[in-house]
Amino acid sequence: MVLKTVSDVMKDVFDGAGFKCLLHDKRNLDDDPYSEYANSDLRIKGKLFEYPANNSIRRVLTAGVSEKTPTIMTYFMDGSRRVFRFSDIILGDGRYYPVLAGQVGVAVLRRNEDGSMAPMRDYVRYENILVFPDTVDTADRDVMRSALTGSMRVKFDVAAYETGASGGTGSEDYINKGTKKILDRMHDLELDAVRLMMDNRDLRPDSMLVIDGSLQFRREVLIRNKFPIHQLTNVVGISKSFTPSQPVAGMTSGKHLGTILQDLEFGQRTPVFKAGEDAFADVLGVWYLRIRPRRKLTSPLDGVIKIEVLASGDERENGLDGDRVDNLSALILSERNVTPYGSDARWANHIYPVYLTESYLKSGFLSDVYFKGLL
Amino acid sequence: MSEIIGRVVATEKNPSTTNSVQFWVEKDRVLKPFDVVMIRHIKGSHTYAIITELRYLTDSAGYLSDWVSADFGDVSAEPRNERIGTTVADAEILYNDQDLEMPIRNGAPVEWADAEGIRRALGVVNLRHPVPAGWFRMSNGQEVVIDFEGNYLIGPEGAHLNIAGISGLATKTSYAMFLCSALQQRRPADVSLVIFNVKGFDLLSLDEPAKPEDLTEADKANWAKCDLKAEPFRNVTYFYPYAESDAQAFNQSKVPRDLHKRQIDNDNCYHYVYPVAYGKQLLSLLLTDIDDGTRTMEDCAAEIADDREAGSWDALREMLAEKTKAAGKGSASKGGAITVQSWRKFFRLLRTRTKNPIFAGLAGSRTKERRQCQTSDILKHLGPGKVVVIDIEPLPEYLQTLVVGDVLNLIIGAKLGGGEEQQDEQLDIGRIVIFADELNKYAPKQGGGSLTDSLLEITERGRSLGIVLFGAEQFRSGVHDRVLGNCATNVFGRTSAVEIRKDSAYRMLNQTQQSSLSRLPQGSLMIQHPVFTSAVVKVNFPRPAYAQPKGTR
Repeated sequence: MVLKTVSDVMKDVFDGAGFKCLLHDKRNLDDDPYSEYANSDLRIKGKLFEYPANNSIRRVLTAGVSEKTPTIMTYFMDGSRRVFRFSDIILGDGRYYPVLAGQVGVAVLRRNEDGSMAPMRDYVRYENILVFPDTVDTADRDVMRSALTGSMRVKFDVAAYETGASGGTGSEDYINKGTKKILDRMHDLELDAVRLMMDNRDLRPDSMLVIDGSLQFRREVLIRNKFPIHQLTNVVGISKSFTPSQPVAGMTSGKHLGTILQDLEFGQRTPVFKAGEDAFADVLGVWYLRIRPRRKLTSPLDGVIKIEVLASGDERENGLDGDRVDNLSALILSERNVTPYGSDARWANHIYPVYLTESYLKSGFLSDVYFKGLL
Repeated sequence: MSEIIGRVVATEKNPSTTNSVQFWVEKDRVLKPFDVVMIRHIKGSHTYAIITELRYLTDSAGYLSDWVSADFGDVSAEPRNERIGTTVADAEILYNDQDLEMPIRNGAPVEWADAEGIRRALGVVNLRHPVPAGWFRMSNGQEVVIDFEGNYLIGPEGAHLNIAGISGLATKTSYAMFLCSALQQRRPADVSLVIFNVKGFDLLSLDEPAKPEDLTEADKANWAKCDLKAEPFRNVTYFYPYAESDAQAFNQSKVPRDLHKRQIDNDNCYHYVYPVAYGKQLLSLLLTDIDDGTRTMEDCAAEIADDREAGSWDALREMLAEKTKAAGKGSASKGGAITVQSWRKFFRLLRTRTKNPIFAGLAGSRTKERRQCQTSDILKHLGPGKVVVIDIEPLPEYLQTLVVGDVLNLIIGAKLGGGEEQQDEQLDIGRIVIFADELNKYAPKQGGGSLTDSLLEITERGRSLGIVLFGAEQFRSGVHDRVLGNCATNVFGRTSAVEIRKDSAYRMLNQTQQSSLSRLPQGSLMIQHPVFTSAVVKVNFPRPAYAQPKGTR
């Protein structure tokens, strides 16, 4: 078998079919370390969602939950993706689109009884994906898929981003659309892993999963994966970043979220807000917790993390149980040490097990140099 | 496939090379420097490497990262999360069974090496004349016997051994005696041993079996491990410095009285003396520690050696006294070459230094009790499989130098066929191994006079002559460079950090080996030998199988 690059295969497949493939500088589009969160932070609704009703900033009781108390946070999941632009394609009618390539992966680490972390290999997945504009039709994409299988040792899946009802005559940002497609694939892998964990009865109220990022998966992703959200019952979403410039009407009118959060002291949390949309509407509780002393940090919202939990049972009606929220907050607070200070710019908002999961996951990616060589 | 204990890691900053490899170690594995591991390499080959350093590292980016992780410096904070970390071992490549020199690949499995593999890797298989050097114990409990190549230990391809290490642990002497015993057992038809006793009386009972409490079954098993018998030396003859007094049994030695009596009964001990006719030839050896830049004292000694008049040491001293009185008389005898002042200095030295009872003639009475002999008689007791112990411990330093120098010259003379009566005995005395502790006294780094010349002669030419020096000292830095440089085998006992920094010989050891040297336990040594593929090997050796009089260990 003669080994070819993706660009070679594209030329073989498309150049004779009225398309023209243009080689582009192979560039990683993930330069911004916050980019993976920037487009996933949905607005909170500002409506309080806690029982008994609470509209004050609270100091979390940590006395009963010391660092030595057994924790219920047993599993940690992280999904990640790397996106590359490597080629542009000109259609027969003269339209011009970018083609993207990505590596996506998901990993789950388990905390052992002795505190050490171990990967759960059954839930670790990596995929390579090429994203074309949907103006390259399914038949052509199938030909491409089969040609890649025959010519390359590394497996690639082929997907398409929407060019819109206009057929791509608008002014859409196709790079963003293609990236979102790759991100969706990452979410597919995450949901798949959660489903498997549920099937294997790994997730229980006393053995929860912490997901790096938000629980609010996009509607299309949930539908495509036929994923009922109640499967997220024993899952906690922890986000390192969020949008501070949004109103929090349920508490103090007019004030933005950031205004409230900058007053949080170490160990304090906000009341729980409703935040979900679509399937998550009325069942997703969100609150914010400061896990580092404010005066030790350089930015006002450093050390504040966003926590998401799904309401279950009576909580759907009344809001999240305040004691449960306090307990979860205390447990998350107890995860604050050790830190990746010096190794990760986001250290103040990271909890170490998630950082390890991320490190483990990324260590399994093909190196950028190698991956670019494949393109 | 045996157990995997780690995996090779080759990074951009720390790649594998032809000489070195790093691997991370499975959690809870216990390893130590000098352990040998086997690594599976390309083309189905196996590479052996010896661990030189172990490091434990975490993902902490720096000190501050940990400080922050303790709630910004709260010493009572106990983090819930344990920082990930691993032990990384640095190892030096010893050998590849297909002679490949390609660097080891990342991820290659690392296993414990087996004993045969280790011996092959260290270069101690298929030796022509193996002489046990001890054994080393790996962290997994495996013990591997190490051999010297006899041809490099006692010639002809290489020769001489030096042992350095701090005093008080009895390790240097014990190891030298272990090697001597190994030579006597393995090369009975070839090697004869000359041993100088410079301290206490622990070398004066070499042919006495050890007491059961001093030689346990475990000790015997250790001898068996080296394929040697745990038995005392055979065919030993002792030479003690003569004493005039009957009460001292005519010897100055600290040898216990009952032991001495047994030796007399066995007819294997003598008391050496220096009759004036012989002794006056050796006067320059008496003055090696004197600052004699113009060599005037040596001229005096030479002139006295030529003098045929003195029939006794008293007569010699009187004759010298005359030279100091008559101004110009002494000068006239040699055309004024030696001044009266020089004779006076020479006389003062000689008068003091020849006071010892060993400066006596051979007595005609009570010869059986006196057991007098001359040092030249020592040669008669040398021969393959035989041991001669010369006790110099009771003598002051300048007399120790005299005796050592005298005996060395006798041996060199015998080997070179210098003496007429020795011509026929050349072949009989065999390959002679001489053990001398406190070598720094006899071959100091600077000065040393004629004895140093003799030692240089031995170390530079002895390999072909069949004279081998096993020297020992506390500080290598105090010994003549050329004497050390000619030693093919070097042994290092526990050494102070100051000495390690001072002497260039230790530079061949890496930082870990140097640190390890400064805390070596009693009974452990590092050995360096031409056939070894590793710079040094850490070994243990069995406890002596001869009697150890109490109080000396």
